[in-house]
Amino acid sequence: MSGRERIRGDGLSYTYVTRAGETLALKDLDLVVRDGEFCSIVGPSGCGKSTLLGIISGLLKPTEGELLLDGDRVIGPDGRVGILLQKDHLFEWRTVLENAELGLEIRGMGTAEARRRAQQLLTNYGLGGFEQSYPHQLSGGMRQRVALVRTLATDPNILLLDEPFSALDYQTKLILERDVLRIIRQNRKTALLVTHDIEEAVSMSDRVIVLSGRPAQVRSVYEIALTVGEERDPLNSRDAPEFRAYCKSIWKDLDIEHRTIS
Amino acid sequence: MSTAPSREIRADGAVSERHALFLRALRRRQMSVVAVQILLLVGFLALWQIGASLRLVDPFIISQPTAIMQKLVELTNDGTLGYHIAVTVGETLVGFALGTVLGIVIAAMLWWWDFLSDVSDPYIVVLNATPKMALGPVFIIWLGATMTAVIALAISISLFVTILSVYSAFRQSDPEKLIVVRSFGASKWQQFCKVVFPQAVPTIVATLKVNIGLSLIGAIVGEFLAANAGLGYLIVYGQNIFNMSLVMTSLMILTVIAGLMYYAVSMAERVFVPWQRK
Repeated sequence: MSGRERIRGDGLSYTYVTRAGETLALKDLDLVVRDGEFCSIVGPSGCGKSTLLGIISGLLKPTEGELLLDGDRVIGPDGRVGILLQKDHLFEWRTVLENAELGLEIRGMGTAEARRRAQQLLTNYGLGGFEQSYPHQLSGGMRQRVALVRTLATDPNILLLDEPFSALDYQTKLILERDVLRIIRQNRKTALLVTHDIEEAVSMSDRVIVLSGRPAQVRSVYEIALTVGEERDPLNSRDAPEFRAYCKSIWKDLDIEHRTIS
Repeated sequence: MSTAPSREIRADGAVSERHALFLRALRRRQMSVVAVQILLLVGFLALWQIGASLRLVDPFIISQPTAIMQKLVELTNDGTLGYHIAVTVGETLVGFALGTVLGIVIAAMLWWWDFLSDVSDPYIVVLNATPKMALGPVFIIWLGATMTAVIALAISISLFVTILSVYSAFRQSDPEKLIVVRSFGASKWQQFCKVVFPQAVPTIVATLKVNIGLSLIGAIVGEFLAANAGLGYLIVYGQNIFNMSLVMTSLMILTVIAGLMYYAVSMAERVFVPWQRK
């Protein structure tokens, strides 16, 4: 994994200013994600992980520091970045197919072309036959799959995943983790996953970045090397001999036990 | 036969004997409800008719069903009824359409410019609280005793409720849905078209149902005050010449029209909110 730099953050800081005062969410954070890499960020809840994704997606402007995508400074939402959030946020007034087309529609792609592309992706990812259903008719896992198709439809190079599996039940989550990872690898996307689930981070990633509590700073970085027989996926990764050690070490870094539960 | 799968569809559309019994009980109950409803209406009319014929109640004060029927036929034949219905329905629909559209447009403007919304907030709240009927004389002086004054009253009565409820629906749009469209690079106009407005459609449809009733009230009161046509005018005219049959006939027709218009708007709900159909 020594491809060129896709995402580079230099000295990123972010301060929220409200009536009540200022909150420093990120402080002087450096980050590099290379082409084709699957990178995870874990940190204690409320440490500013989502703020970081907000900055990378161009929705938030860093208070200080600079964010580069492929070497260009980011000034706003960018076609190269797609996001997948914790909740699927499908539009309940649109059918599955219309939901999948949303991004293409906003980008101004002609309807027939958008429809063909969305249709193709839905079929590829096991949602064929549900095009005319409304979201409330689907299960949680299928809904998140539609959300993934919606994100992939605009063909971003970089995927930002903001705890997209945390609202799912355990079995669905494992299956979806496997499928998402497979899709990302097949399409040679670069991915940045934010999660509080250590096992999820270790089992999916090439690299795990551990953040400290607010304001977020990089505490440690793990290059994940797991011994698995066949091609690595989140299911067999969990059985790798090194798996536990990584999880334990990250758990220790997060220092959760010594935190006061608020 | 007994080994056949229980999912087999029978001639009566049921999947099993138990299902058939259940469906039959359900149908019987529905029919009983309708039967009692009809019985109540017929009983009421019969009591009214008999009471008036036996002079237990004064038909001069409360009229009676046969007299109302007679009046209905008479008014239909000389064409008065059609004319007055058309006037009232026309005023109501115009008031309803303008009040609703104007309300939605203003709500959208308030969403777009939150400074404008902050500035106008106390004024809209006060105007909404004002009893709109009291504006009737003002409109008549400004616009004359015309249909325009009646329509203005019908608009004023639905406008502010629409602004307040639709604006609050616009504001409640899910911020994360907005993040989704913004991450695709949506402009503010696209955010409005793709998220804010569609998300408010159920509220807007509910507002329509309220507004159609309010506009009818506005039109009738307007006709009471100013007009020389319409069902409101007929009612006041009947009162002035002490013709209770005319009053009651107009009232009855008004009730039917109100019901029909509400029903029509409810149908719109099925068309515009298909994703809520279970």
